Amino acid sequence: MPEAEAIAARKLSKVYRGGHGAFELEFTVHEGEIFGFLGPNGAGKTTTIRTLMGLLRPTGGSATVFGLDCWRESTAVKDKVGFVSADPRLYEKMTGAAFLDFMAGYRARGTMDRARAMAAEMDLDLRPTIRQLSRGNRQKLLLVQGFMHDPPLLILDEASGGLDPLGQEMFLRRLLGERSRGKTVFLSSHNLAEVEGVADRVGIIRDGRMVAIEEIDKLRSIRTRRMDVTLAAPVDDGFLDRLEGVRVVETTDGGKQIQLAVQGSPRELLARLGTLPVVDLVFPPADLESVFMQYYRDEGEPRS
Amino acid sequence: MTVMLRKALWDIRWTTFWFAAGGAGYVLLIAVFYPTVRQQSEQFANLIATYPKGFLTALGYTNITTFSGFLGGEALNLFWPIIIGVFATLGGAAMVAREVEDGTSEIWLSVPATRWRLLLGKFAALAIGLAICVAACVGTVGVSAAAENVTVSASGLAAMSAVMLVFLFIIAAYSALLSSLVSTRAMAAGISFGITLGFYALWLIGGLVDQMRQLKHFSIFSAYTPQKALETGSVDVVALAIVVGITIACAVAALLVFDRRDAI
Repeated sequence: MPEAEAIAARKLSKVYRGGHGAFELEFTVHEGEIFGFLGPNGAGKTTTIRTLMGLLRPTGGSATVFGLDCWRESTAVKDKVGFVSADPRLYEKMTGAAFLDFMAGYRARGTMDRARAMAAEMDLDLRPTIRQLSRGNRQKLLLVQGFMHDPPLLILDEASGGLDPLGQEMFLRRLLGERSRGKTVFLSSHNLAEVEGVADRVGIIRDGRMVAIEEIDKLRSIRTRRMDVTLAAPVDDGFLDRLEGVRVVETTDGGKQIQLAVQGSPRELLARLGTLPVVDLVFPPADLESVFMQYYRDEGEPRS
Repeated sequence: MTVMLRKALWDIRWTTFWFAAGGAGYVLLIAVFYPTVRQQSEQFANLIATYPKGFLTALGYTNITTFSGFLGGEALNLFWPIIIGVFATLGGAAMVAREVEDGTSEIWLSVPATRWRLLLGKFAALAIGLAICVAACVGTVGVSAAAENVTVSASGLAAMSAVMLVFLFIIAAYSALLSSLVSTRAMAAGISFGITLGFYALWLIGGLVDQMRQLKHFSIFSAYTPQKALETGSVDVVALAIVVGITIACAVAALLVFDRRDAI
């Protein structure tokens, strides 16, 4: 039996006058999954989300949420969605409580009680005006309004922006909790590590076009991470280069500084490095660009 | 709609208060001078008779020696509608454009309510705000008349309220339509002020030049006759109905445009 679709985009396009936007997007998000929507800033993520939310009218194709057309039936769609915008601009003169009360006015009875409980859980004071809130607390307020009515689908656009590391961790834990309760999450981000941590599948968008849709394990296996190794004495490049998934990018300082590109598990590489006079080692999280580069190689040349 | 109405009313509460108080205060200031004018009515009438016709027409002067004529010429016919007309224009121009400019349209339109309900809530709030301004003005006229032993009829006050409301509502409606169309408050308000000024110019030219008197009928100022309404207790029903019709058409057009446009 096919999985039920929470979101389905069929050749969905939103093209602005300048020619940029989102072009013929084809993807589905299954009920009960966390779907990561990855792309650098300006790739078309927010445009896509605004189209799903019925804020922008598609210039081509269509999108549905639980079978409802995102433009023609947008009111019904919004009833089923918790939306967190990437734009932290809110009604500055309202207090947090007044803002949530306004938003809760459109939801079922009891929503405000849930909102207050969530705010307390997130250590968010609802008494100050929004103007007085820090970027992080504004984001928490946005998260509370997105989650407070317990919607079956969450559409989150760069929703962890502005949160401190603790807040980000709490946010990701909450997403996993929502999924375990059968909720669907559409998580847009430019942060690969964040999406990798929670998503089941990932759609990658660049220049308004969907580059790929992959299971998260596949993504982990193809993305490349950089490793900078500093050695006490030079060694032969080939000693590392011969390992599967490892490529020497650059050697400097007479062979003492080596930059590697590592794909897949680093276990064998680390074992090999253990036999070398390693002074320092830097292994940062994979960035989005490394994933894109993989797709570029697959396609022969980058998209324009 | 009530959720949006409550918020919109809260948003304009101070603006409403200051415009209502300012408009009523101005009317009161003029009314306070009326006893002096009444005592020296002959001299004032002679003085007014020396003024150019264009000047009198432009300000809406007719008979300055009566309470309604004095208030009409000095406040109700031109200055009060200018003051409160600014409120109607800015309030209408802000309806959609302010949300877009402030970056709040995304959160505003993410609630599960149709766009026309959201906009209608704002329309209703502005209408209430304008009605409060009218009530403050009409109340001031009534109280001033009583304090100065001048008789004004309840039907006169009611008729005056009607012409004032209709006049303000049409300004608010075409300002809101412009707000739906252009997305910036300044542009919507600027065009709206221009349209109102155009209507005033038509009314003025029509009043001054006999050969062009038909122009008056194309102006919303033709239906704006608060002094006459106060004096007679009646209104030009046809003129008011036409303005009401245009108001409804503008409001419906604003809703339709807003319903079909991109929100950002």
